[in-house]
Amino acid sequence: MNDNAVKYDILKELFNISAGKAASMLSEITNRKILLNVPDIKIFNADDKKFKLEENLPKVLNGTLMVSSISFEDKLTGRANLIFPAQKMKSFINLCMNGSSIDDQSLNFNDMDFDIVKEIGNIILNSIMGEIGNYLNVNLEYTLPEIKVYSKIDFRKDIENKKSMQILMLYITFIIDDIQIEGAVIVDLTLNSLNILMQKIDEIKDEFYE
Amino acid sequence: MNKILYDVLENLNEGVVLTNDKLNIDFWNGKMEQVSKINKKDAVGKNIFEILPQLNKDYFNKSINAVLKHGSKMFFAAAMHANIIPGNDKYNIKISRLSKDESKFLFIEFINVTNEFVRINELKKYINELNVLNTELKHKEKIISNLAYYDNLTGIGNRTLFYEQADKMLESAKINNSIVALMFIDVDNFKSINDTYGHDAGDKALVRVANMLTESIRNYDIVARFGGDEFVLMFSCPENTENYKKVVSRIIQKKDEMASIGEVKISLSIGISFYPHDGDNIQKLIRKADKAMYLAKKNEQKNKFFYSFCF
Repeated sequence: MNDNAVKYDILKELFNISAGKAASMLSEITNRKILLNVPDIKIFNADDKKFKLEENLPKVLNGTLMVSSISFEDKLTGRANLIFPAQKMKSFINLCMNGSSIDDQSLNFNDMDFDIVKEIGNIILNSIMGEIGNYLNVNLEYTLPEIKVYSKIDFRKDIENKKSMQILMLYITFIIDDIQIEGAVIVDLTLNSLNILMQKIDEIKDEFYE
Repeated sequence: MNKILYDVLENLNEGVVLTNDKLNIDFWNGKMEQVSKINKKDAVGKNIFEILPQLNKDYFNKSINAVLKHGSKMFFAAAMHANIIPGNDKYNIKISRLSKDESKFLFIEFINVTNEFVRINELKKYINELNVLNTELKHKEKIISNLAYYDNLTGIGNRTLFYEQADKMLESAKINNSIVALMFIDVDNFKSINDTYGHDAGDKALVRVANMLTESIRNYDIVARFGGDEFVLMFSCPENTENYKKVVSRIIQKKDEMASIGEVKISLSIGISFYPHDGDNIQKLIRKADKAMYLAKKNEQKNKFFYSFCF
């Protein structure tokens, strides 16, 4: 089997395990059935002139986006961004607060809304990055999430400002009751950090084939 | 320095709890005493779940273990977790780890956000009230607009609306080089209907005539009450002026179906003029149609109409 394909599969499996744990915690907190899947992942070089972020984001991530970001350092350095369409997040917040996904067309978020997204973002990102760190025996220290509401263009500029970054893109699907929210987790890593990660994956792969 | 740092924590305007890695409370600051009504002497040394039983949930347990083991930071929003500290106030909770030598400590912050909740709820209430007012205003605007353009009795357009719509129809006919017919319709002997049967009967007659005329034309044609017992119809004649005959025969048919109220028989006099033959503006067309209607009225026959094109 193609070497790269195996590494991607291992990474995807790790992320799905951690996403599952995050979903389980969110289910307990909200008392609703929540599923979180990572159906696909990709790795890009932000320095590559051919790389265009908007061509690789899920199509549903259009218009206004809600982004939770955590920064981490020590063995792995970089930033992880959890991105969802703002309108869908509004429905999710309403579901958590009122128990119904009220059809609220406004994109006005108040402090309470931001706090809820901060909690959700922290649980998901903590789980994903934390599980990686745990599995790979790599210590990660990260901040609590910053939450921002962006247009897609401004978000793209923000990502593209980070030179010498490798981008690990996780395509995610978040299902709560009958609401399906497609989004992405974008992890910016320095080249060195990505190499460390892929080295560790290699070790797992080799153990697997022993 | 330690004393100063201790005093800082003790006097912070947010609740601060420090536990060891067995989750026994080492520090319970002044704010925690104030908000929880639990004295530090009753809290220190006890397990955090004993003092704050609402924290004793599976997800809090898992989060706390992850914080102690990996040093991750956890955040819990007040909107999602109520009554961790008993009472009506709302708290965001931050949990992180402190380390000294080999020892690990849990650092829990309770940040009071009750004022934000109150302000947000007040704003939401205010916005709801504004929305209700806005809906009422729009409803009233519609009523005012209707009063300005629609006849109160029959519900069809009034003279003001007619002139606006007629101008547009003539503009369109000029551009497309097409023919427009204007019918001026009068209810015969309307005064005697009122005098004999009363004004109620007269009003009913007008309503029925309005309905009948509306049903005789297409949705995009114009019907309006011109005033008193006079009505006006305006419609395009796509092929030639003879199209008016179809409309007239529909009016007559409907009139015969519904024209009597009690013993009152309604008859109409209709005068017709055409753009561009009879005039290139609405005033000319009305004058011609009115003259034609007058001639029709003098005609003793039933279902009187007069086509002004003969002039």
